[in-house]
Amino acid sequence: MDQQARTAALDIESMPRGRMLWRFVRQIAFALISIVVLVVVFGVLNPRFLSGGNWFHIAQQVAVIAILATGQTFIIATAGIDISQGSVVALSSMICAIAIVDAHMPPAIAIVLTLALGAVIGAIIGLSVVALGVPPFIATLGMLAVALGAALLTTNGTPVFGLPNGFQEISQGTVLGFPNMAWIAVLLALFSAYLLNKTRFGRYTLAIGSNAEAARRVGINVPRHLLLVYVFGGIVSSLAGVIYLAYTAAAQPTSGGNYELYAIAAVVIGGGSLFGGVGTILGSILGALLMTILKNGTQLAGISPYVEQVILGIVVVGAVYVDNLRRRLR
Amino acid sequence: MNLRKSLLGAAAVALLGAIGAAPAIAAAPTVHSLPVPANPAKHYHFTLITKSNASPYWLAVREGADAAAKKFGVSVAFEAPASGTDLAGQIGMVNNAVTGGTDGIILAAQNPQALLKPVKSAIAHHIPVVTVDSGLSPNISDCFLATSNVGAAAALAKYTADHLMGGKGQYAIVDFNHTASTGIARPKGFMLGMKSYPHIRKMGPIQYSNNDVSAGLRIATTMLTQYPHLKVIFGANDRAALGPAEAVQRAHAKVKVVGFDADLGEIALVKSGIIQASILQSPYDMGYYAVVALLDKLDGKTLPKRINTPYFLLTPKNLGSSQATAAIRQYAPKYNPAG
Repeated sequence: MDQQARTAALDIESMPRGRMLWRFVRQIAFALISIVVLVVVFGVLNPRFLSGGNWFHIAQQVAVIAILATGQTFIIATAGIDISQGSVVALSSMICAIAIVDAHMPPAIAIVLTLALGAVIGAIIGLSVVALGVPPFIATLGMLAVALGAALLTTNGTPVFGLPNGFQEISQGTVLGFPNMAWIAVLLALFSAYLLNKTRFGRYTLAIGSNAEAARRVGINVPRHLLLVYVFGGIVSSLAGVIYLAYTAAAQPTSGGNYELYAIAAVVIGGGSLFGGVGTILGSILGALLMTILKNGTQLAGISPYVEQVILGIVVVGAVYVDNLRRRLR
Repeated sequence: MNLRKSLLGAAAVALLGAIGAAPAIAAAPTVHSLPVPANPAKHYHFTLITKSNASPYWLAVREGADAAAKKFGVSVAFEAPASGTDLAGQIGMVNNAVTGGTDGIILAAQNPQALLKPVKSAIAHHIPVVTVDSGLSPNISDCFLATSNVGAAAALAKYTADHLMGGKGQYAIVDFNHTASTGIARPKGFMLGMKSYPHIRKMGPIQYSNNDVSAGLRIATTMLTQYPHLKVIFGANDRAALGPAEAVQRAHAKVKVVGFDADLGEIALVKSGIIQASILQSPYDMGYYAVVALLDKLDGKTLPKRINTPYFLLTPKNLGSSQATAAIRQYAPKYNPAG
């Protein structure tokens, strides 16, 4: 049994390079092919879809969801889930805005403070899961309510305005013609992909998701590792809140609603499995990009936003169906 | 059409006269000050972006815009986030409309400041922007068409105080949103109107239903237990009035509900007297004249910065009148008083 467990946990490590790459390509194939199809279709329907200006806006629009999807990938890879992300985005943007506008903190300090808050939120979720034994869905459902309530309490429900122009550079400024907020998402994705694929932290994450019992038997400190994953997820959600704030230039306690669902959908479209053990950062980013292109493209093509919702739903279910088909055919 | 408009305008004026001096309403031009546009030089494609995509109120704005589009031979694409608090979603839609090469934007802003940047970008691309219902601060749009929310709510408060409360007693407020300009202005106007009555008291803080009828029902049910002597609940829009009306019905309470707007559910409640007064705005006209304003602007005409659209105070007594029918048709163009 122990031997079996060891093999399961080390499965990913011992896989030959070529097979790993092939597996990776197949995981992201659905998202990649869908994106290519959508780009061609929308490009034909409205050639402006392909313009540089439009891709700039798509890059801005995808950033927050892509960041959230990155955090969600780690959590889902452990067979967990985080449905509090939207509320944490709202709370983080409120705290960051208050720190800058009302407490007159330099933006850099305010951002660090906000990320620290995210770490604390993640730690609370993580402790609820590992120490209190609350399932991740319930723990984050609780946090969804707590963070939303806290966001409303900060200002008694009123929005915060008056952020300095320098802060808005995070969303408006560009490097090499690309919006800064998209660069931040790209850097986070590169770091996360490294973390998930090349480090012990990442291997443990996938191992726990594949088989927590086996992971424990090969000597992984599962509770400690899960806690770290949720702390990482919390920090990432807060970062998304900071970016959201820079993009909207206003902090609203009720903003960010349903963003966790988009992030979860991005992970699933990108080949992640809610049963854990599977998931790639690139896949999740492509999932987020697919949804953003769908929103942007349907508008430019003059397709009703109601239809866009229907298409999105079909894409999510279709992604999982294709994934299942692939597994059966193997 | 024109007859209907003038009837509605006249009704609003007559009503203001009837209930005494209306609290200071900024004298802004009416929709009739907009020149009738010449047939446009080309087939323009406009984009209408409202706060959310499934509220009857926004769909009425859309119907008005569609009617004008048909009349003047242009097209209007309708866009809105699913939720009225998806600010990033709405910002994205304005940006997409600009890159998509729209010829003009009609916008109901979810937030008066957050939409400034995308609208500035539209203006920089020489795309005219007309705001409806909820504007920008500062108002950088070419024209802003809306109800005077403070004025209308104050007029409603005066009617409520005089006719429903006899100048004394307790009332409470259910608002629909604490961040939208309309959500802020209406309770403010209502409280302003009530200030001149020393024996009328507001109970508790303003409660927020977030456009959710069931939340309004829950809040109002609690209010009925909490304040047994409550006489009136003010619901600041259709959703915020429907919840309290349902609560009053279920509890068989004597509390009267006054509100804003009129979907068909609200009309039935006015008929049965649960809702004793409601301010009817002109969402259909907002949509219609927003298209007219865009065409005027593209034709090189100067637009007034602000246009007040008319409102009508609906009560169970005037429900059968032709003015009331005209006002309700602003929300439900196919409304038939007999049906």
